[in-house]
This record gives sequence, structure tokens and C-alpha cells, in this order.
Amino acid sequence: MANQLKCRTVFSLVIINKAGGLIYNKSFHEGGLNKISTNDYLVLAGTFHGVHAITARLNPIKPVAQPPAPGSIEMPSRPEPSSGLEVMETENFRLQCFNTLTGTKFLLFTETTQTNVDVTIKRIYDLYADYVMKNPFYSLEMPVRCDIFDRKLLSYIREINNR
Amino acid sequence: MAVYTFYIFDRHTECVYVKSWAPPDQEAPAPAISTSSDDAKLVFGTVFSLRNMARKLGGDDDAFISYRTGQYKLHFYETPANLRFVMITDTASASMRNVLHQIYINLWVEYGI
Repeated sequence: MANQLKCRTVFSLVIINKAGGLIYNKSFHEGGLNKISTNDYLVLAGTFHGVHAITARLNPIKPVAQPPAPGSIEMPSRPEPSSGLEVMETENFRLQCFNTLTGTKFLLFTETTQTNVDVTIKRIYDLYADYVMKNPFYSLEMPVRCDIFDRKLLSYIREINNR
Repeated sequence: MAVYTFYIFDRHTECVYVKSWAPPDQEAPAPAISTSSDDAKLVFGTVFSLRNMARKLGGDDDAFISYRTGQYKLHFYETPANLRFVMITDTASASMRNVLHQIYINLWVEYGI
């Protein structure tokens, strides 16, 4: 049982704003990942932001624009931009990245065998939209300090980690 | 399943081998923004940063294995002597770690040294 619990764990959540700054960082499970200082987390966020841009650029298949239907007067559409890093795997953890349309990145660190992380991360984005973006005292691109977001997030993750 | 590119980097971070099977661009080549040697440097920078990130968070024994974007997947294998093997494939491919390991022991050790 303990073993089963162990392999279904969300370790931590990191939110990076569109400029590459760390705006939220929360650890849910002791002993999953190494403890690193807040300063190191800031460096990590900046590094990841850069790496994400490079990984989008490294796409070996160049995106091609869909030609407009013959006879139509539409402008040729732009090619779909290549997405950057989405999932990263190492021996000890798995990192899922969700990049919103506005460039905010949600990074979720989980156990390597975790499933349905994309559902979890979308749900966290919902919580962010509901309790951070709708908070009138929150200023955009600044560190997230919203009690109710913390509470909702913790109870949601606890539910997953105890499943 | 398709392999697009393959790189080997030595311990001095130099790209010592590169092979590409990526389809050439269909349209007339736009003014080249980057050459393949620039790409090798970008690949190295990426795997180097991600490997350090993995070590920092997962402990010193952790090893970066792969990452996936919407368009491709990059596999990584590092030998104890810091020789680094990188393979870029399509997103559907399974883990290529043992393939890279086999390339190391059967091809690099046999014929590369």
C-alpha cells in the first residue's frame, strides 16, 4: 500500500510568468525532490524559460503554412508555431510543462509513473484563473500570494496524492 | 517512428559527430538563420541545462533521460566519462535510452575510439 501511494505523487508546482520570473513555488511532498533554496528556484525558472524557447526553435520539421483553399480570398494562414518542451523525464522525476496562450508556464513535478498529469495541470490552471486572476488585489506578473488559491490547490493535490 | 538527427558530444562539449535524416525543406530555402553547427550548440546547451536541472532537483544520481515537445522528442544518454549521445526522433517513439547505450558500447567503443 505504501509503495502504491509512493508511486502516485505530485512533488511540486512552479509557475513562471511570461518574462521568465518565478511567481509561485510550492512543494507538496517531502523527500521527493531535493530541497533547494528560493534563489536556486529563481535561477531554475529563468533557465527553464530559456531552454523552453530553444526547444521550440530546435524543431527538425519546419512548420509549413496551410495554403488557402483555391478560389477563396482568404490570406494564407500562418503555420502553427512549434510548441516548446512539454514533458521531461529523468530517472527520479517527471516534469510536465503547460504553456498558456499568454506565455505563463505551469511546471508540475511528479513521480515518473504518474498518469493524467495533463488533466491535473489544466485543473490547476482553472484554480489559477479562478482564484488568482479574479483576485482584485493581484497585480499581473507579480508573485502569487493568494490564500484561497493556496488552500484550494493544497486540497486538490492532497486528494490526488492520497488516491 | 522516425529518427531525425543524432549527435555525439565529447567531454570538452565539442560536437564530434552529427548525422541528420530530417526531410529537407520543400520551399525555396529562406535566408539561412542558422547553420547545423549552430543547431548542435543549441542542442548541447539544452541538454546541458536540463541535465544540471535534473541533478539539482533529483539528486546527484539522477540522470536526464528525454524530453518531448508537440513536434519531436529528444533522447539523451551520458556515459561516466561525460560522452553525451543525443537522438531526436518523432514524438511516438518509446525510450531510446538502451539504443543509445548500444550505440555507445557496440559502435563507439568498437569503432569510434
